[in-house]
Amino acid sequence: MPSARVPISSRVVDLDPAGPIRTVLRAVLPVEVRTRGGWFTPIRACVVDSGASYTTMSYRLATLLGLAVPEASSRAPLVTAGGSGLATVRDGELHLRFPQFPGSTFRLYCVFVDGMSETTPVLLGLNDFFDAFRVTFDGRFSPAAPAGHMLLEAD
Amino acid sequence: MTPETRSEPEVAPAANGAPREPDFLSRARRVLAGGARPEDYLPVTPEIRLAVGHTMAGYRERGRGQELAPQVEPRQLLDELLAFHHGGRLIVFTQDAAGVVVLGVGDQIGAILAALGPTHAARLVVDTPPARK
Repeated sequence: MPSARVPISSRVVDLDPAGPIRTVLRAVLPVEVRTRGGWFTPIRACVVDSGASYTTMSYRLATLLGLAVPEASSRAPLVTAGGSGLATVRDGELHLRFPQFPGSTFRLYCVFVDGMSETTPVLLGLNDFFDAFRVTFDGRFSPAAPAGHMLLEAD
Repeated sequence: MTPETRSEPEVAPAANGAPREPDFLSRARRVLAGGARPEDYLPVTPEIRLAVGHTMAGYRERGRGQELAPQVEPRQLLDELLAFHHGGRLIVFTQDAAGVVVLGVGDQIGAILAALGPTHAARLVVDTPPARK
């Protein structure tokens, strides 16, 4: 089974001079996404989010990237850390390559969300990123991944 | 430094009447053709060095004296560099041995990817660095 270890990214930030210094961890993966033109554009950081039901991308971002997005839309409940509500979405697919798995292209179901800011990171969610990969989070230190790593295993 | 405008002002036609391409697109073409100038690169400021130093010190503490792999510090520097200059914004950037050049911000990335994606896709990296605060 092909596998890869991807470091968890970490930054030290001082959000509040009156409070403690914080370490912010991000479980992110670099990907390359196939465009309508057939070429693959690298996206530096997609968030691996087991708390998200779906792989989601802002419709606006998909447009800027030149992805093939269906015209048909529907309304769907969208739950975020900020609350929940109905959103206009388009059900489609992403064709992704991962630098850790050269030569393979993965097709993932994706919900493109209208009205979501293009600065919202792409979320790799339960349906169906975790069908393609088993992911183990390990926060222990290693010289190449001092803030921990994700172990990705593909079929 | 990166062009700051989110929406480019109307572009005057070239002398032959054909629409002239926006400055940010000409700049991106020049950079990708190997013509990057020193002022194109994102500057590594003392604040960025300090932030990298804090994180690296934390890593060394976690590792209890174990040596870090050589790729860790450059990766951290890239994180901090992009967050410092463009945290919270959608960008497209490219990188070479001399540093990082942000080619476009916000709506500009659509035009850059459409024009230069077919020939330079692998060098055009899209990112939304985390906001610093």
